[in-house]
Amino acid sequence: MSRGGRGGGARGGGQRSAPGTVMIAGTEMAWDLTGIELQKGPGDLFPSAPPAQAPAPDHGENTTLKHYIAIGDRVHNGDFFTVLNDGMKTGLKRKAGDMAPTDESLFDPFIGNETYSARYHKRIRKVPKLDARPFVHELFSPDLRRYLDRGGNMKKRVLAVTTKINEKSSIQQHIEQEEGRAREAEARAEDEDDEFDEGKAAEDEEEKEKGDDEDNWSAVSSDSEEADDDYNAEQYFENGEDDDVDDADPYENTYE
Amino acid sequence: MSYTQRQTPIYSQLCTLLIEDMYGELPARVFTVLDRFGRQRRQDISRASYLEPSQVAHGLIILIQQHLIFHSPATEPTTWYEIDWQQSYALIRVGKIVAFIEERFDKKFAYVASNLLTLGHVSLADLREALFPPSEEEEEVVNGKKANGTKPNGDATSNGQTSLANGTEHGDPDDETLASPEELYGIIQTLMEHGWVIQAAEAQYLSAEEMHNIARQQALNEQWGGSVPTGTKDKDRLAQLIMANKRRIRDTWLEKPTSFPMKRKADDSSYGSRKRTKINGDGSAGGSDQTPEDDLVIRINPEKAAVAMRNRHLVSLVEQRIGDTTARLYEILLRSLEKNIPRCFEEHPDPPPTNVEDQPQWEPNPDHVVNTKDITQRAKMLGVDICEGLDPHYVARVTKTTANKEGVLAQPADHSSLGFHERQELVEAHLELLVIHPLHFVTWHARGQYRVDFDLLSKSLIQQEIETTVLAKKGNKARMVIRALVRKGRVDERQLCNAMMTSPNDVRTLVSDLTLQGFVQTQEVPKVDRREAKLSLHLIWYDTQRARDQLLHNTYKGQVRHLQRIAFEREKVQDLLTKANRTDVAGNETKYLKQTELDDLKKWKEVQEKLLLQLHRMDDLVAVLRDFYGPLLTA
Repeated sequence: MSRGGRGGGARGGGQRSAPGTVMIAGTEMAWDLTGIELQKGPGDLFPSAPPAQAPAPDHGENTTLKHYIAIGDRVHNGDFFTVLNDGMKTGLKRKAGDMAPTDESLFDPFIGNETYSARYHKRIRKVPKLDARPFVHELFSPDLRRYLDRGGNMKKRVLAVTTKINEKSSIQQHIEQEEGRAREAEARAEDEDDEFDEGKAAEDEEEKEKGDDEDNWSAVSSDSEEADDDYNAEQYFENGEDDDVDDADPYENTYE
Repeated sequence: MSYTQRQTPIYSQLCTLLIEDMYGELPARVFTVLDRFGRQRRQDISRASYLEPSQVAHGLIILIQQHLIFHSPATEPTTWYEIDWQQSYALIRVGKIVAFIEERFDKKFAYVASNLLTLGHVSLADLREALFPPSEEEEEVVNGKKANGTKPNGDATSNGQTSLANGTEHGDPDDETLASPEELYGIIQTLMEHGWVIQAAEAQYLSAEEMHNIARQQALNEQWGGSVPTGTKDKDRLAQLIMANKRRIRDTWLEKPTSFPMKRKADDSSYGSRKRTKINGDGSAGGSDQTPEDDLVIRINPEKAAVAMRNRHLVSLVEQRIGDTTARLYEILLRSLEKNIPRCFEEHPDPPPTNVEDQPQWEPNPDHVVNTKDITQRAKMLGVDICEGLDPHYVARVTKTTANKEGVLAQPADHSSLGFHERQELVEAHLELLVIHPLHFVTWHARGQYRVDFDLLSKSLIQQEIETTVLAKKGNKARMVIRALVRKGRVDERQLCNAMMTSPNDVRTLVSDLTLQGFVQTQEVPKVDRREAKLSLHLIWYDTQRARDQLLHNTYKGQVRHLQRIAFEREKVQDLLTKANRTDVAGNETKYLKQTELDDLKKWKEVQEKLLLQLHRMDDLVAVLRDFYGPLLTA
């Protein structure tokens, strides 16, 4: 009984002290340590200390976030949002020695090169489009009022309001759509015959997608005004202006 | 300078980032120029900036549309522009305002508010035309007649409504869109009654200085025929009149026009009948019913958000410290007051009289008084279980049920079957809990009446917030130092040690630490005419206003870091976001986006929400420290 302790520990716990007791420095203690793992080695020098996590948002905070992001999205898609992308941090004049950032220095060689898909990019404004919405002229200072009326837009000015009360952010839509697709795919997979090879199914899907793609290409070309002009190389890469944009529009939207 | 228009470098950086985040780079660049050089003319801005003059003008237009800058009145020969710091920061609260409105009213109200916040100020006619396009409406009038012909069994009451809902191209009028212009008017009227929407006026674009000059000129013209008075008494009177004029100008914005076209929430049958008469009348008049209110220009009241935030903060405090049921009752109480409180503190108070004896007697604000009767009724309507969270003996005595000796009710008291007086007694018992709490959430006012002393509460909230921060940063001992200094005032080290019953060695490190953090001030008073450490008194003191500013400064810094982090995280997924927003991809995500890309998008969304959440929580802290109470003056 008294031989337990160290010797026993060294042999992998073959001869322990009696259950319900523990041997410390030759003295038997009536402590029941079964089920407790004692750490015998030195402690970690740098124990992992995960940073404190903020509590999860409650209902009200979730609503706040939803509305904040929704309003942000709406403004970003609206006529007032501008991206200058001119490499400046503030609106102040450059210092005498500073060189203005050139187009070359701002150009990103990896993704900056315009490809065909650039025609689909969201248009980025450098100057806000003011001729789409009505203004209350009395509230603006007199020297700005003439800017409010500018623009060749003959259409009636209407405020850009959302029509949906329960709107979702665009990313949320993407994700939900993807989840919906995953669910659909699952449902389809269940319906499909077991003997149907998975690889084959994937192939099929690919083929289908390819087919869709081709459809889409032709659809795009037939949709555009220059449908008959597809082989005109100069017009092939048009700069993606919307077809309904008036030619006289001074706030012409260009790519960076 | 106006208290709300103070600005520090970190604050201006925060506002610039907020504007850039929301409205893009052009307005933010113009904003930075105004920030750097202060009040300026348009030519000066163009000269100081690398932007083209027309770009500057466009930037200014956006800033004015969203009320982010002041400009001098149109009557002046030259126009000066100046930043409105309070409003620029308020950009962070747009989500909160909509959430508050949704909580208090319903989704449609939130929808109107969210549109108003997106658009800045709008005239009511423009808003109506945007929501109910007139041309389509006229078509609908024709179609509506046809529909009447083909569908004879369509019930007459809802007919007008459906035709209008079709005008905005959405089938479900109950949930998705507003049904009719009358509903829009009703919503706006209600929001104006509750102070969430106010009239936009030219005077809102006056900077504090210009506002002061105009109010002063008015006072001089009215009382002294334009000449400046000389006597001391007259000067005091002038100062009072200036403040009164400022308040009067401001209060006109809150007024709502007396005759709105429709009363809100008239039942649907009357809606329908009105529409029907219109449809059957001549089409043009039905399409655009011109009302005098169409000229009304409205915007969201930015000050109201702070009131709602204060109420929410107080309710959550009660929830933590007293209990859920009491918190619900307190919420009912505060909500019933909210309608009468347009702002948290008076920005233009009467100047304090010069001699102390003239100090007016402090009087409770009658707007902050509630009847227990109203609360009782409202609690019954909402079905709050008022028997919860009270001493069971007391409940047993009130409800006439029996309780055994351990204080457990023999049978659970049913709150819905109580009589009115029993109810009222129980509600008063809850209010009594609020009264005896050290923070004094409510105060007994008169028989059956209680009031909330918001000013006292707000002051102790600020102190609480500072103490909590010190506790979290430096531990319990440091908080003791702060509390001892609050109690004892300006003391030297020995006195402080006595007050805290601690050894000087412990206190010294703490005090120097807190001084470095800016929470505690030290002062050196020489006893002789030389400046020698041994022969001078070293005093330690604590000033709530300074500590408050320091903590506010730190919070702004944290918010700036968060906005920078959001920008950085967005930069990381920028290519993906560009791709996801492509016109061909939108709607066909399943085809063009890979699974990994969708995962990345999801991750970005989570990161963004997490960061924004913290940003908004810090904004709660800013509201507690800055917006609930005006400057704390210490002698």
